[in-house]
Amino acid sequence: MDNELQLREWFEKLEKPLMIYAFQIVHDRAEAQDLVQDAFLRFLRQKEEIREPRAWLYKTLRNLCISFLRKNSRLQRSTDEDQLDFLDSMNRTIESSLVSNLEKNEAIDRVKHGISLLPDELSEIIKLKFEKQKTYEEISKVTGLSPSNVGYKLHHIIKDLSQELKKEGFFK
Amino acid sequence: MSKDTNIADEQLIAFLLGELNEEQELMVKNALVNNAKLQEKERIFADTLRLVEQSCNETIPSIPGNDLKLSDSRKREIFPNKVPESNDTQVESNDNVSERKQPINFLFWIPLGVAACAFLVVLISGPKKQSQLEIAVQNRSERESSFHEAKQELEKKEELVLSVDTEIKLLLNDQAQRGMNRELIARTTDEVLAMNEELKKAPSTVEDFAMKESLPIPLNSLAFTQSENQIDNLSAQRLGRSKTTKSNHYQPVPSAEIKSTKIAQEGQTMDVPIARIGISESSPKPAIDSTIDTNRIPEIENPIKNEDLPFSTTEHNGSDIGRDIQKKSLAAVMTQQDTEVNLAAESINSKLGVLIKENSSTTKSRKLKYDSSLNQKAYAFSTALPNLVTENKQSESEVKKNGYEQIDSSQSVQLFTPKAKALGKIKIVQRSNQIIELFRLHETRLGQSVLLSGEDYQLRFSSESEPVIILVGSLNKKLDAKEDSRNLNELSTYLFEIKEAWVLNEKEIRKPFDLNATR
Repeated sequence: MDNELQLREWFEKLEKPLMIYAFQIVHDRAEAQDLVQDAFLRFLRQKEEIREPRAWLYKTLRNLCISFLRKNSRLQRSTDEDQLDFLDSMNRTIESSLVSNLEKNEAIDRVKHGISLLPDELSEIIKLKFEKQKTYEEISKVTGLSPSNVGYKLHHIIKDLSQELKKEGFFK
Repeated sequence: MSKDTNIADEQLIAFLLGELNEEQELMVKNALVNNAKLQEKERIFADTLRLVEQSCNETIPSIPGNDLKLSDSRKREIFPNKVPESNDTQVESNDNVSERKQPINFLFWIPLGVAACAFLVVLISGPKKQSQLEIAVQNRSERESSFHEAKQELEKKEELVLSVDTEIKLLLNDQAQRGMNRELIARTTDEVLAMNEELKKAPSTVEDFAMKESLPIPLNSLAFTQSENQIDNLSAQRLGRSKTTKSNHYQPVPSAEIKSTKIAQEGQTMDVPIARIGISESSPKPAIDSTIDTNRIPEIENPIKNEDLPFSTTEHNGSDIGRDIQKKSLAAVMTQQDTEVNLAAESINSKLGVLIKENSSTTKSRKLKYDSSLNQKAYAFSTALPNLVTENKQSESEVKKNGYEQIDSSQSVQLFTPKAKALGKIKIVQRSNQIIELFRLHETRLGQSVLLSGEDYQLRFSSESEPVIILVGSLNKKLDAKEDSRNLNELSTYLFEIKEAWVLNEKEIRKPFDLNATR
């Protein structure tokens, strides 16, 4: 029952972020819903104590998404194989590269997801800083914030992201 | 903030982003040299910044709709007890419906649509068809009901016809039966009249006896010889045969003879020759010893009553035909071993009774005619013969019996307790006036002490032709019975003293019964 209460709490917090995260990976709303539902159900059925529910849910959902993408790519490959046998080796290479890229880009996708969830003000700061390569001074001019305040906000964004990534196992 | 090194996370991130001045950068670099934790933190922040920078270089996919949420059904699957409230549920569900591609199951919807159309058609055109159907059903039910009524009427008529037929048949049968009865009565009357005529024509036994008044033989034997001669002659005449043998003597009727007579009677009517019953024509009968003691004459003059005779120990008197036959019949009843013999004996008795009745009436008339001229012996004979005939008449035809005789001749005797509980059949050993010695045929406690004793025990005597006689009295164990012998095969003997006698009439109502009175 405690697990269900905890789940209810985290469901209210993470329903939307997890849906967005899954959609960003699989690019399909229905599949994203299935995967998020599956993640929550796994959370509910988890007998062991979950110390970091947020991280656990993200990690589980990410793994589910990767599994889904692998299955989907394998199905796609099998249909392709019927028509283009000579490209079999090439396809395999592509598939492995896709999976490896997927695994490599997990962190980037996770960060993307984290940034996408930020309020517009913060996402604007991130955008100005990392896309536009603006300094605090420049960002402060754009946003109207003080340079120290920009630094403070940016520091919180990075710190939170790093902590989440660390909890989710991206950093060893 | 990392307190150990006095380098804040904000400074560290600014250092990584190149936002610090030289002095600040030097201070951080110095702190990082000797601090592993700070180095680790710096590494994580650097990786995060690198990922953020990489993610910012790639296009972030746009999220369709501002509210990506699970549908209610999915929420119910996760939370079966209570679904968390959501303000955007309806919007989301609408979005889901619009965006999610659901394959259309034609195999389900097409038949459903067809069925719905058919239902609509039936609904629209239903009442008209239904009314026609109802009319048809009503017509059919009316036809069926009228058919059933007609059938019932026919059955009633048939029953009436049948009942009339049966009544007519019964009337016809009745009339035919009446005609047959009339014919039989006329025939029987003619036969009886012819027999009377024949008897009148036969020589008078009294006259014969008067002529032979000095005969040494006992009168009763002579009387029976005479009567037998008459019977034999009569039967011989009826058979159309001439009587050749004059010396007919009485011979006790053997049981086998009675049996054969009975068998011969089964398919016959009244025409069965009486001479064949008991008096065999072919077998020579031994002559009665002429030296028979004449002391038996008083016995005839004062005939022994049946009630005075020991029940089962009566000696056979060859000269007393009635008593002999009675004894045989009673013995047959008591032993209950040969009912056929009993029936034969009864039939013999009845036929013999009829004959003797005729004989007695003739004799009486003759007695009146010749009374003054007869001597003492003749008078003795004239008185002895009616007595004998009367006794025969009583015993054989069972027209008139007193209570004791009925008791003695009953076929079944049952013992009952004062509370009318049946104790089974009993066997009467002997009877002397008011005391009956008996034993139970179905005694369950053989050889043990006599349990039955006391007042108001009942004995019920029943026979086929007589009403049930109930004797009420005291039941006691016989004193000389061996109670201590413990012989299991020995039946206890009881003495029953009669105190009251009742008889059941036709309606099975008790009425007081005088055992001495004849019925």
